[in-house]
Amino acid sequence: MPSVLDPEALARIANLHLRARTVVEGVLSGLHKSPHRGQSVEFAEHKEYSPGDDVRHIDWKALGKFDKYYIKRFEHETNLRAYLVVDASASMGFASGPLSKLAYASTVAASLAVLLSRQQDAVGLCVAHGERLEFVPPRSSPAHVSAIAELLSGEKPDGGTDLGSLARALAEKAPRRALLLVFSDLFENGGVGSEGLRQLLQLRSLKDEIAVFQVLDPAELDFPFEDPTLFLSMEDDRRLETHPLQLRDGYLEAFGRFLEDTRRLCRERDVDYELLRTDEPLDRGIVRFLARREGQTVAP
Amino acid sequence: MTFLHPLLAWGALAGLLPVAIHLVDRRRARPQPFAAIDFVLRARRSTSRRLRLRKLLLLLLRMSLLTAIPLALARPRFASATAAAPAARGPAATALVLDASGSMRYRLHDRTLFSRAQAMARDALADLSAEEPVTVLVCGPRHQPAAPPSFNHAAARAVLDAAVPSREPVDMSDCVADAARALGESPVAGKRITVFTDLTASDWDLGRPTPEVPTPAGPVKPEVQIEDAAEQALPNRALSDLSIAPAPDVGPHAYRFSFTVHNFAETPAVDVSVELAADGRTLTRGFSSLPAHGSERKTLAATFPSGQRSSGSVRLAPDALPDDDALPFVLAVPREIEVLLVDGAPSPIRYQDEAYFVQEALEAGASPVHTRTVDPDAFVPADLDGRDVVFLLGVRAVSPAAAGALGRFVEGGGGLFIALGDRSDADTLDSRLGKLLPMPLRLVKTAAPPPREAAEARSGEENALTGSTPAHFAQIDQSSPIFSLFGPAVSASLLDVRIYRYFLVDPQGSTARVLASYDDGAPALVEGRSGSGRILLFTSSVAREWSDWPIRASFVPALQQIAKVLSGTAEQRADPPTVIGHRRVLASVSGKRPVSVVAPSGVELPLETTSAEAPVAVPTEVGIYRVQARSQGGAVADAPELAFPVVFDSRESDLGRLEPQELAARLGASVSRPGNAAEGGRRTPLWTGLLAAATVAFLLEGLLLRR
Repeated sequence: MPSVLDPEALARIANLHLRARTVVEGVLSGLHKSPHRGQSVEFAEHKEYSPGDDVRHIDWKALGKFDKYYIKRFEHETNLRAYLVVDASASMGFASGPLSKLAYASTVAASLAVLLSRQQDAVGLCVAHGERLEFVPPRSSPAHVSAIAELLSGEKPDGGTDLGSLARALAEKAPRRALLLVFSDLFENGGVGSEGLRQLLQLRSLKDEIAVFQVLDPAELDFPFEDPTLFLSMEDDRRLETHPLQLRDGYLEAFGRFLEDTRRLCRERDVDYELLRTDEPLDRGIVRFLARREGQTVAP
Repeated sequence: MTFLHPLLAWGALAGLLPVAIHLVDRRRARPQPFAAIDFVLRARRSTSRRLRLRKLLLLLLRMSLLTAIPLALARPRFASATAAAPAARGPAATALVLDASGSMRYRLHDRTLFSRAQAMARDALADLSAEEPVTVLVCGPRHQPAAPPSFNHAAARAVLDAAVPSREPVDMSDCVADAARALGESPVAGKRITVFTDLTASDWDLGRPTPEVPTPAGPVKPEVQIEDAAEQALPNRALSDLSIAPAPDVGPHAYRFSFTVHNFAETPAVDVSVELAADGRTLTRGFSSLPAHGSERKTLAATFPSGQRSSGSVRLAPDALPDDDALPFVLAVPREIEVLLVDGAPSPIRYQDEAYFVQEALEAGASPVHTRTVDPDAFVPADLDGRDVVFLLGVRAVSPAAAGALGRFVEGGGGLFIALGDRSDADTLDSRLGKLLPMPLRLVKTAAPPPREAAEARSGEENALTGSTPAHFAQIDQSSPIFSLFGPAVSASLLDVRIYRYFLVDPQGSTARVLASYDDGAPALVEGRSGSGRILLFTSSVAREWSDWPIRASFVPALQQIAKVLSGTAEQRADPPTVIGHRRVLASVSGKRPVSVVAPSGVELPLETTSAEAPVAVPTEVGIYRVQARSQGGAVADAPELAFPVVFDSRESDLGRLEPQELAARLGASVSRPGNAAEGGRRTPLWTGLLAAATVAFLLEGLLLRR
């Protein structure tokens, strides 16, 4: 089983800059720039004076040298606080390939943690086993990242999926204006459009920034089963014996509608959405996500 | 239902395989934990009913597919219980008897009964196993004896394929007996006769004993199975018994065609159209309404051109058995006869005129005779130009020049009729006419005084008459063409004729033929020949002076017939038709000897010829046969005057059937009909239907799987 910190994935991500698409607040750290100026001491550039500028920032030396008014502008770093929210419900344990959805989500989350840590951003962790949540407060030290990775590596899929409880817990415990990176298959017993997902996405209104990584197995996307199969629910005791070929069309139609509804909800809430297939390279979803935040496009 | 290959029928159990596979599949369902089971359940809910129906359909289609293929390979066939019994008894020497009678030409559902029977026989042959010897007997009117059964089924098949139906009745009972005899030549213990027939009653003789197969251990009864090719009583209309007679009341050269129309059907026939056609055109048409199983004598009349031979037919609209819907005929219409009357005793009082009664008789009705009358003194050789017959009526004598002209006239084929009278002078006539007189004239004999003289005698005292009883015709040669056509009434009238006076003739040294004599044996009508011509001498008078014949009923037909005979047109009459299959003796006519006969289809008939007798042909088709003849000069050419019509044997027209069970009981047989047999006629065999069903099931299954 590969390490959750895939060096190759980290090498590719290191060339990209993580930038916040919307400036909420905070200080510049690494590639993150803050719209708030004046609190730091590090000179950044000059700007010709225009009426309305604060006269306290006029560079008098420059006036003496160039006989023009210049305003001094400063930069200062502000730490981004990011929460890696990982759904560790039993459904995330499904695997048709070498990596379960939970393992895949943990690897991507850890990679992002390392990336954020390099930019001096504080990274926290929230692991959800249904209503049971495990919180690790955000910090920016490299050792903290290792602790997060270690914790993720030890997680076993268990419990149901309760996005509503998760949303309420994050609303209470996560600091304001945090970046929430949610890793989940978004399967709830009620299906898509449930109140839980809506509540989770409503965190966006609390000025949190949210990115949803929907982690899905290719078997869930393509439904490749052919032989008569007894399907067993992974979160309760439901079961169904059927011939998958007869249901394939109906399944793909329902699943496609589920994905489309999820994307639409995210788009309506101005939430970044990324679909991660567990059979695609680990870095690809991260690169797409970062590129979108940078306003670039990257070939899938 | 029976199977040709019963073991293969067990393969139908393969139809249970889909059920078994279904059950096995249920046990083998692989457990699969699945996170997105919500969506599987949702898909299941939306397609549940459709899937269940589709699943059931698939199961049924697969079961049908796997059942139909082995059943088709097993070659199933339906058979009645009675028919199945013999078939299940194992190998047997088999005789297939195929009815080739004329009724088997009946068309039923676009196939002849014979073709249906032939197909049934082929199937029966194919159903025989290799260890069953077989012989095929095609039961025609002149069939060959059945060959001993052989294992060469291909040869039997070839015999069946080559068989054609006849147009004649056959003796099916005899054929079955013959088949039974042939089966005796096979050492195989089982004996079976399968008869393919339409059960036409006229082809069976139920009085015959039940067929038996002779074996060394004594005669045994064969299994006899009747395969009914007709299924039912079949309706048919037919014509028969055509007779043609002149119809003078209709007009000159008119003929009356009398025939019988039959309706061999369970339902009446209304307004059945019958038409008379000749030489490519319809002359007249009539209609007939007939009760069920009824018949009606019908007559149509038409006029034909004189001096020609017309061929045609009386015909119905063709039905399922067309051979009996037409009665062909060949009609020779006599030409106009030009007669010169030499009146030996002209009189302004017509009934006292010597030629009066003759002229009236010859031109009576629609007679083809035209007359011209001259006096003896005015008779010149030029008067003979264009004449066919000359009547010398009571002339005293003829001039030497006229006598010479008459001699040449007769030598050249002309006819001469000589009647005598008061003025006739025997010596002069003997000397002038010479060889033209068949017999020399001698004395006049008075059998009784003519009525006029008797009345005069009674008024005076003189009575020099020699007798008191008139003479009568006593011996009449009915074979002569003059008298052969007379019916009983005319013949009786002829015998009632009173002859009062007549010439005696001297028969010595004469080769002339006496056609009629008086009751005292004296010749009355003598026929002689001179060159190509004929001469008739009537030794009495054709006027009222010596006999009362002119006022007798026989006078008119006799005189007209005499004119026809002397002109050489008497032989030109309708030829009686030959019934198909009957021998036709081809007599020579006018020195022409038939050498070949060509059927209507163009096939030349073989002739049975001997050096002494006339050749004989046995026609096998309905229609008009052409004859080629060799003339005295040795040249061979078509002889239209020898053409003859051939009609269908009316026994085959009546398709009245035997009761199948009656025949079965008589023969100890079982009966099966095409209706309950799996393979008969053109009906599609059951196995092909099964294969078609399997193919459809296969295609539908593929279609369902693709959806």
